[in-house]
Amino acid sequence: MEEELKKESQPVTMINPYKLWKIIYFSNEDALTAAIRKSVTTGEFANGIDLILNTYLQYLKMHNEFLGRYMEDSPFSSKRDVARVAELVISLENKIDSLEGQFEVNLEEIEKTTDLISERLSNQPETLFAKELSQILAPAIAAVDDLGKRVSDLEILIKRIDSSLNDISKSIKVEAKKKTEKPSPPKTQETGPTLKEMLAKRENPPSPKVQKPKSTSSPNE
Amino acid sequence: MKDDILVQADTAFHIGETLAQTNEHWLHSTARWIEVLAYDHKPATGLSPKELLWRKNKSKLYHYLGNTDRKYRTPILLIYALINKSYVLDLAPGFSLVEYLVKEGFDVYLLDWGEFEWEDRDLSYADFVYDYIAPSVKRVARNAQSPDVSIIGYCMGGTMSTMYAALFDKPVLKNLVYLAAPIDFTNAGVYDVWLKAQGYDPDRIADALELIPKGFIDWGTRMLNPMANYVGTYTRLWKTIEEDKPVYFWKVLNKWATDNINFPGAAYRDWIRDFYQGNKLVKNQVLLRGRRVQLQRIKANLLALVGLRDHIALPHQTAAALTYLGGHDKTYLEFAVGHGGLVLGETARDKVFPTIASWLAERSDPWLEEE
Repeated sequence: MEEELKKESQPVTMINPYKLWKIIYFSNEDALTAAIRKSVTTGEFANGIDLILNTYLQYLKMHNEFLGRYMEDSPFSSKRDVARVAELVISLENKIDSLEGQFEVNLEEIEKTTDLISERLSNQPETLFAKELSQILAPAIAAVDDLGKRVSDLEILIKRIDSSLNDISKSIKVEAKKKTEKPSPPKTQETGPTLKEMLAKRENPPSPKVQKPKSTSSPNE
Repeated sequence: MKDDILVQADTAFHIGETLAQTNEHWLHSTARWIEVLAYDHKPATGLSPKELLWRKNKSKLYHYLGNTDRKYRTPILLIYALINKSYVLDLAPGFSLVEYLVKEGFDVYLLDWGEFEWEDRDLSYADFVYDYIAPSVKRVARNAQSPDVSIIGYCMGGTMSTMYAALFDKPVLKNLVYLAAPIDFTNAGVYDVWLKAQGYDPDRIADALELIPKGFIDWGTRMLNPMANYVGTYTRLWKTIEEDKPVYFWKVLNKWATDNINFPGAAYRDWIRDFYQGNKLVKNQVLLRGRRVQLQRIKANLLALVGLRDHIALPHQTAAALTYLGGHDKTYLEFAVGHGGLVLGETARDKVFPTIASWLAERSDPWLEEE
């Protein structure tokens, strides 16, 4: 059959129905689009759609109300219940967010203040700063110096007292030795307590003596 | 074109052979198409190296790390919308705004909103601005050791950045970049028809749904261009496979487009009522925790980038920022792309990213080594 067809030498031309359909369709699609678009932009179309929409909305509202009442008594949580929980979570998140915002603002302010202080300090000449500081501290330094002098005077005084105390104690010992060697002469004059004894008394004051009423009939008297 | 359709051969046999080959190719392409849609793994996204700087609830503040030396002291904070996920800003290597900015020597941060759950249904724009964006900006400035910051807001992220910029003076917002960010909601295109229709009541929607499901948001976005989003995306994939082109980028894009998140009901109510229906932003009537958002207070340098084919945030919605914001240095640029094209694709990589980087470079303080 192929050979028979080949024998026909004249070129054959015909329309490709596939491509023709494609061209017709796509060239008409634009026209169709424009026509349909024109029809949906009319007031009649809008009114018709609104009629359908409003009917649907009435039905939906009724349906929702009925379902809402049913769900109130139902042991299952409705989407409103779930939404309520979600709203709580969102409000909590908002609170945290506002706190975070405040914290950031405060932190920024602190940073700004710190920067300002350090900037001012860095701008101050060091010698000037030291001078101001020395001026502020001058009375305190003088007081400390005075205190130091007084303490050192006091130390010298204490040393002197200590050495004189040693001398006194030595002389007392010597006196005591002499007394043991010789009979003690009658006391003509009562000598007072030594300095050491006085100091010891100060440190350990004697317990107050309780005065007893004098009795003439005491056998020890 | 004619040559593509016609099959020419010496014999009818050869024509039959060619048709059989095309048929086989189509069968293989279709099989591969099904395989990509049903079985292929999702490609990895958000691959730029990063560290977690701060987290609150489900939101995370990332700091991106790079090998390039830092050139600019003024850090960049990227704020994404509440729809879909923020990894579109760091989609894939070579197609990432984050990666590009880091390579250019910027200190880059991203506020990722995370995925809102039932407990987040009462979050409002006031919460997002006061409790998420403001602390993030503070942390970014502190971490970057800079008294000022630049913000890039994508889509709704740009609108939220505007509210932040109007209410907070410190850290100083030096540069504000809008990527398809709606500011004026006077004529919002298809959304104008849908959201200002008599029967559309955002209070009723928020009341009934409480947490707006991701499917609802996705449906609203896809219905802006239903044919392209529900059919065109997949036929484009088939065409890509049939033409033996790589499908990696389609997969990455599709992953992001279908990766939606729930929308907090309170924020949804505000978004529709105050912005789309009331257009309160440009009227200086938006009140957040008792404080009025006054656009004239924004003195930052402004770069507004728009996509001419954008059907989500129309170009004039972003361009209005030039009129209402109070700064003096204002730039407005248009690109021939859609809403996503400012951060996705070749135009983004070759034109948008370099434009942002050079504009910011001129207006950012240099980073000195001793700092």
